[in-house]
Parts: sequence; C-alpha cells; structure tokens
Amino acid sequence: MHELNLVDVQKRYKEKDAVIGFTFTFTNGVYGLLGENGAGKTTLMRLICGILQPTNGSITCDNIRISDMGAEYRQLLGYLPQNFGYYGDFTAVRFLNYMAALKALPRDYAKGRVEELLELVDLKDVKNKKLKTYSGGMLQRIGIAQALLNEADILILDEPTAGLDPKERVRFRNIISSLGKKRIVLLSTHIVSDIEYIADCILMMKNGELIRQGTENEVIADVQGYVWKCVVPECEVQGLNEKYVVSNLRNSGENVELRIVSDIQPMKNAEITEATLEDAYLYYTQVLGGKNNAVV
Amino acid sequence: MENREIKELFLQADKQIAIQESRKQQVLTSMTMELKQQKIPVLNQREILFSQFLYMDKSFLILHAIAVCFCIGILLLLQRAGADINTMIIACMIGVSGIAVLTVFLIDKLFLGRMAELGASCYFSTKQSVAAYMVIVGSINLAIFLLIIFYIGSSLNIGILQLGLYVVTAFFLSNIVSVGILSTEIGRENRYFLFISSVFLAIGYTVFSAVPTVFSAVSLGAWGIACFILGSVFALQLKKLFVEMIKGEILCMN
Ligand SMILES: Nc1ncnc2c1ncn2[C@@H]1O[C@H](COP(=O)(O)OP(=O)(O)OP(=O)(O)O)[C@@H](O)[C@H]1O
Ligand SMILES: [Mg+2]
Repeated sequence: MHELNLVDVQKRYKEKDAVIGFTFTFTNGVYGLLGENGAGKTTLMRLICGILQPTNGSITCDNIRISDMGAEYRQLLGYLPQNFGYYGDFTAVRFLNYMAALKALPRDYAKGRVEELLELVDLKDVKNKKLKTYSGGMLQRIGIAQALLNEADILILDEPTAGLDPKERVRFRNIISSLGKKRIVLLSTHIVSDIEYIADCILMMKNGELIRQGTENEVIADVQGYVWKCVVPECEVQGLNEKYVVSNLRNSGENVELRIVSDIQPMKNAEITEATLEDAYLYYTQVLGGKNNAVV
Repeated sequence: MENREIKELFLQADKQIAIQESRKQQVLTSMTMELKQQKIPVLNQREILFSQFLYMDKSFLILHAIAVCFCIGILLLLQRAGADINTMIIACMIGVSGIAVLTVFLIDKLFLGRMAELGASCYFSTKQSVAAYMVIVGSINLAIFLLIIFYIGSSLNIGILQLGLYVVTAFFLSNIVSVGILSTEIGRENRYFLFISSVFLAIGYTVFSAVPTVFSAVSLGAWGIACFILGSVFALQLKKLFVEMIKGEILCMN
C-alpha cells in the first residue's frame, strides 16, 4: 500500500493559478474528483502523474518526492489522460502492446494481459481494427484498458466515463469499485452519478482549490436542509431559475416541480427534501460564491 | 566504538532473547509471499527499446530511409554528370539539411505528438524515448553523413575536413531552424513550415555559393566560427527542450 502525499501544491501557468494550496493524502481507495470546467482537475492529475512539475509545494509517495523517484514512481502509475492520443493506424492490439512496451512489461506477460483487458472492456471482436475506425466510446475503453495494463498501484483516470454509453458506464463502475480495494484510484468526472456509491472519498475543486473533501455521506450531510422541493406554475420557473440554483425540474400536469438548492427558503410552499450528492456538488460550486473552505 | 564491538553487543543481546523457530519461519514465508506478489518484472532498457521498436509506427522510419537513399542517389548522379566542386558542396549541404529537418519532424511526430502526455506517465517516458531515438537516428545519420563526406571528398579535389565543416554547419543551421519552428505555437500547428524552411535554406545555400571565395581556403576561419556558434546554439536549444520536457507543459500542448 502506498501513501501519496500532496502538500500545498500549486501550479501556476503564465498568469493563472490552475491549482493552488492543494493539500491531501491519498491511501488505498476510490477518490472522486468533482469540479466545473477549468476547476483544475486535469492539471492536478498531471501533477500527480509527474507530467507537470508543481510551481510550489511537494508531492511525495511514501515520503519520497515523486520527481526523485522517477521511473520507479511511473512504474506504479496507470494514467488515462482526458484527451488521450493514439496512432490512428494502429490496431487495438498493437496499441496496447506498444503501451506495454513503454510500461516496460515483458512481452509474454503483455500478450496475455492485452487479451484479458480486451475482454474486460468488451472490444475483443474489433481488436484487429484500426483505432481510427473506432467510435469515441470505444477509444475511451481502449484508454481505460491501457491504464490497467501494468496493474498500477496508483490509477489516475481523467474523465474516464466521457463518451461511454449507459451499459458501459455501469460496467466501468463495477470495474472501478473492485479495483479500489487494493490501490489508489482517482477519477474525475462531471457526472456525479458516476462516482456515487463507489467513491470512498469525494474531492471537490473550485478555481484550483480543494473546497470540500469527505465521504459521500459527510458531503451530503452538509447540504441537508438546503434542498427544497416546490411546485410552481410554469410562468414562475424562469424567475426562480435566475434567482436560485435549480438542480432538477419535472413537469407535473400544468405545474412544474422544482428542486432548488439554496440556504434560504426560496418560496413559501417550498419543502425541505432529502439531499443527494448532486445537490451537494451544486451547493459547493454554485451556491457558495467561491468562498474558501466554507464550512456549513 | 568499532563495528566489531557493536556487532558483539548485538550478538550478546540476541542471546538473551529466545527466538521462536516457528515465528521465524512464519516471517520468512510471509516475506517471500510479499516478494512474490511484487510487480511484474521490469525489462531492462535494451529490451524496452526493442519491444518499442517492434510495435512503434515505422512508416516514418521508412520515409527517412527513402529520403536518405534519394539524397545519396542525387549526389551520385551529380558526380557522374561531372558537376563542379561548388555544386557538389552545395548538394551535400542541401542533402544533409533535408535529412536533418526530416529527423526533427520524425522525432516530433513520433514522440511529441498526441501521445506525448500518455507517454510521459510510462516507465520509459517520452523524454527517454526522445533521447533514445535522437541517439539512434542521430548515429545512423552521422554514419551516412560520414560516408557521403568521405566518398565525395575523396573523389573531388577537396579536403575531407573542409567538406565536413561545410556539411556540419549546414546540419546545425537546419536543425536550429526546424527545432525553432516547432517550438513556436504557429509552427506546431503548421508543420509544413518545416519543409518550406528547408526549401528556403536550400535556396539560401545556392545564393550564398555565388560569393566568389566562399568555399576557398581563405574563408575557412569564418566557417569554423560560424560552425562553432551554430553548434553551441543547437546544444542550448536541445538543453532547453529537455528542461521543458521535464517541466511538462510542452508535453500537454496537443
Ligand atoms: N497549458 C496551459 N496554459 C495556460 N493555462 C492553462 C493551461 N492548461 C490549463 N490552463 C488553465 O488552467 C485552468 C485549469 O485547467 P484544467 O484543464 O486543469 O481544468 P479541468 O478541471 O480539467 O477542466 P475540464 O473539466 O474542462 O476538463 C483553466 O483555467 C485553464 O484555462
Ligand atoms: Mg480536465
């Protein structure tokens, strides 16, 4: 088991801090990283993979700086970049074998492993087709397979479910929750339901900062009492939508049933309702106006 | 206290502790289990390079080989046709420049393209791939250049070192230009700039050769200085490239 330690990590691009003051310790388990576009998720993952060097702060694995560990650290890694590059003329098998070579896996081991993974991501039938003929979701699955090649101890997946159909999403969730027992799995997503129930810990990022961390229940508990349900005539929806964060709406006859996340009661007949992870996410990213480390 | 004395102290202390043989065995088995569970063995660098070569995209290498053959063919044809010394020197310079540009293009395409970020997270990282292939392709190029220089140099009335100086200068210049182009954003988006630049270089060399004494012994000193300066600039450029690869942003640009 490894311990991955981030202390006050900062990454500054020319004039913008993409990640700032990030302090966290990862041990075995599944970590779900949530954040809006541009929150700094990809940058954080690149830092953890040692692809980018932090401007400030330190990233250590078992108390050794990952930059000092070099290849020894990369050997522990499995990474799926957000936009992962591939050679279009490669077949899936060749691509995975090439990646296995880069990961320094023995060829006979790789052979068996590649077959195993193609089975796992359900691409066995098209394994000898060129990657340029693959659909987005199929490519994403090859990307996931590639990250699993070396049975990594630290698995970093940047929006792994992007482009997957519902069936594959479910399959993927099952894979991840079984993987998380023996390793560190960090995955980012915009789709809250992807990490619901499978993440041992939720990390929420906003403007490069870690604004909330905790188990799903802890995070949801924060917003218990801030989620409202109300039924309003259709003409009022627009106004409420502008004023409050509406997490869901559903037509019910002539009226519309709204789900609103707000620290004050949005209207008279609004009732408090059970909060979900999605509500918590909306609360932290939309309702709290970027206050640091807000504690409710 | 000497080591020997410390050892003795430990031995004596150990005597006072009864070591259970069964426990000792237990620890041993659990340790061997742990070791067995350890990761899949890692290959050594040579094996990694070999399997990488086995699976990598080789179409660019073939392109490279074709370009080299083409270049040598032209030189031989020119020589058969009885071209004068100046033309032969210019032809050598243009040929070497072309191959240099192609090599930069190849390394960029293979390792610094869209796979760069993914590669950077692997045991054998993008940086190492680039370094390894610079060395391998670089040595192949060097061998070819030496062959050209020796063959043309000995068949013409010109010193081998002198011809070598011209060729190496041209080599440095085209490398600087092509690495320079690729390090700008516009250049990365329009890789054909590389080939336009080599055409301009070729025209430049031809115009340049019209200067009467340019390839004579009198201007050798100037060539030496130019070669030295360009060589240093190229070395600095390479160093900067590797520093940037370690910093990482360059790997995530695509
Ligand atoms: N190479 C770069 N140069 C300058 N700024 C950058 C660079 N890469 C990212 N940024 C900026 O850093 C911030 C964080 O970007 P990042 O890609 O980490 O966000 P993200 O959370 O992954 O977003 P998304 O959900 O869209 O993937 C953004 O504001 C982005 O504009
Ligand atoms: Mg991202």
